[in-house]
Amino acid sequence: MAQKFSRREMLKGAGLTLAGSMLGSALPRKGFSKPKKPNIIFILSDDHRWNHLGIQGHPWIQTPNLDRLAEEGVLFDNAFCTTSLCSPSRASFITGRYVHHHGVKNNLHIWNNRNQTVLEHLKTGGYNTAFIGKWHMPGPLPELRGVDRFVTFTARTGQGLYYDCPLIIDGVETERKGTYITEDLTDYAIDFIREQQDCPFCLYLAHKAPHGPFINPGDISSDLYQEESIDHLPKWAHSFSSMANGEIYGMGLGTVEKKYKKYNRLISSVDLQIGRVMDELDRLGIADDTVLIYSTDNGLLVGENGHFDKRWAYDQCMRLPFIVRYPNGIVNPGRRSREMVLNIDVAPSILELAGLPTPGHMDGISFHSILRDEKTDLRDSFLYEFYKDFPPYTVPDIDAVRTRRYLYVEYQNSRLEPELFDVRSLVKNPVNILETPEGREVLPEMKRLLKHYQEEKTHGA
Amino acid sequence: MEHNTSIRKSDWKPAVVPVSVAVGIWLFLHFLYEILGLIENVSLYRNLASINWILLVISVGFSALVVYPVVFFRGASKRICILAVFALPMAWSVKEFIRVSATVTIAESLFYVLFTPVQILVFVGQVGLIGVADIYCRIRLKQRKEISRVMGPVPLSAIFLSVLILYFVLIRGGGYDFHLAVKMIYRSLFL
Repeated sequence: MAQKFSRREMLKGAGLTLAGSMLGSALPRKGFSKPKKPNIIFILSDDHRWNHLGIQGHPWIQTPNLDRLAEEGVLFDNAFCTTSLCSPSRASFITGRYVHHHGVKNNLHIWNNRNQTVLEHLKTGGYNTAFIGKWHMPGPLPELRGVDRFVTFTARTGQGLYYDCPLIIDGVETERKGTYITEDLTDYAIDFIREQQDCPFCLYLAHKAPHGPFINPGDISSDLYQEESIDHLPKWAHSFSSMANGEIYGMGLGTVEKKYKKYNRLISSVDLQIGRVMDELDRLGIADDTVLIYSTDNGLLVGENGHFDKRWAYDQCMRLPFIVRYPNGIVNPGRRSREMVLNIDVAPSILELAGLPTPGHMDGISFHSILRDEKTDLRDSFLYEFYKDFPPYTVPDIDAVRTRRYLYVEYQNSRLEPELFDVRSLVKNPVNILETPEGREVLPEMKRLLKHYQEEKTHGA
Repeated sequence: MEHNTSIRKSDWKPAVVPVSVAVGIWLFLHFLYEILGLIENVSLYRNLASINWILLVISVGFSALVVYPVVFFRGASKRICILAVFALPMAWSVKEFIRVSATVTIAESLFYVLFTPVQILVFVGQVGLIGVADIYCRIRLKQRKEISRVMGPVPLSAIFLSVLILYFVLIRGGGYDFHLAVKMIYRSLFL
């Protein structure tokens, strides 16, 4: 039987409709309905420098899908990792914890199976879960509790191979002749999405690219970027500078010009595969209900201060490309956020998006309020920590504190002197301002902040 | 007539000048590399620094091809010739040791100069180059009719051994397998 409405109710309804239409795109598309649990896709690449996106103003890189993702979501301009190295940062993403808590200090320290992952909590909350891609933490493959599908690789101690990389699919080693790893992992990811479309799911998709050695896929032409200039790189990026100081494994053999272009092609290849995932979500009609987060484990110095590495406490290493799209949950999509978010924030944010409580052991803070475009002051500073990853990389242990304006770096057990930077200079080339009048004025507060964080670290807070 | 290759321990004199020149050229290039950083013009800096880097690699990695024959034909024994060849790589290693010890412990710095791939490439490379240089010297001696046979098992073995090790360090798995092996050794020793 059709429901009857009084005139008052009719007018009230019309008013609400009018108000709703006036608010229009400022609200999530299903703003007033009780939100159902969203699907969550977290895509993590490897060594993708934060500003190597078309939308970030790179002079020639093409990342149309990531640009689209940002235009339909929120682009975080101040996203950082708390340790700029593969294994520690990956462990921080998946646990929501600092390195000094999860224990994966560098690429040599073994993952502790007592660590709880965000996937484990999601499973408890009713999600179907998959981890597909690069695990790359030392030691045997983990007992990933709460993961329904675990597709990874162990070749080259977890670094994997670009071509023909054998996969470990739910514990079974499987040859993958004739495949390219970024595409192959995306295939598995899409298969998982198709299987799970009727349930809330969380897909953790971790790519090997664009990590070195820079071996490009067949579907990216070797002519791409061939004619482009590298004039935008720092002066120090001469043809052989990436092989100075014994660092021949960071970017491999060859000239900087060739390697840098290959690196950018790899980023474009990741973009291409992300486009496939986005298209599949559209095709299945679940894009609006799906949170899609893109980030990377750490950045990369490409010649700043003569380094081609990620193991330094500079913005080029710790700053991340970070994009969140969630059509049903983001207010005012297509904007940038200047709030400082960290890799450790991803796990608590995912849990909040899923309507689940954040466990007390997580160090991160949910950035959900930023997605809702609420006035938020997530943090004013954070601790960066680095545990040496020797050899052949000769970067010492580091404790650093990053505020919105300054970065203060202390090298531990080393003859290297502390450094202080105005972060506005970090984008070009780090210039130490410690001995300048500005530096001397700022230094006491930065030292106090760092000491505060170090005390928290020491006392297990 | 066979060239005198007997060991003359006291005969360092023929090696002093060639070794000094080789080390001097390397030091000059090393400091020049630092000074080039003062150049503001990006294109000029990059071009000069690239050339300088190539010359640095040649001076450290390939000096054996010059030092060995020069010292040899100045009348030094083969032992002196070999020691002369390793003088420059040793000096370079000391420089690397000092550089690395700024950020890690003395024991780790020692590990670095003994086991990391670039160090091994330089030292093992010298072994093969000594073999090549020795064959070159023997060709010259044969041309002077001072010896009758150019090829011998020692220089050929040196070249073979060098190429074999370089294959494992640099080529097999793109050098990554050796890199990982070194890291595993480091982990067992230091962590």
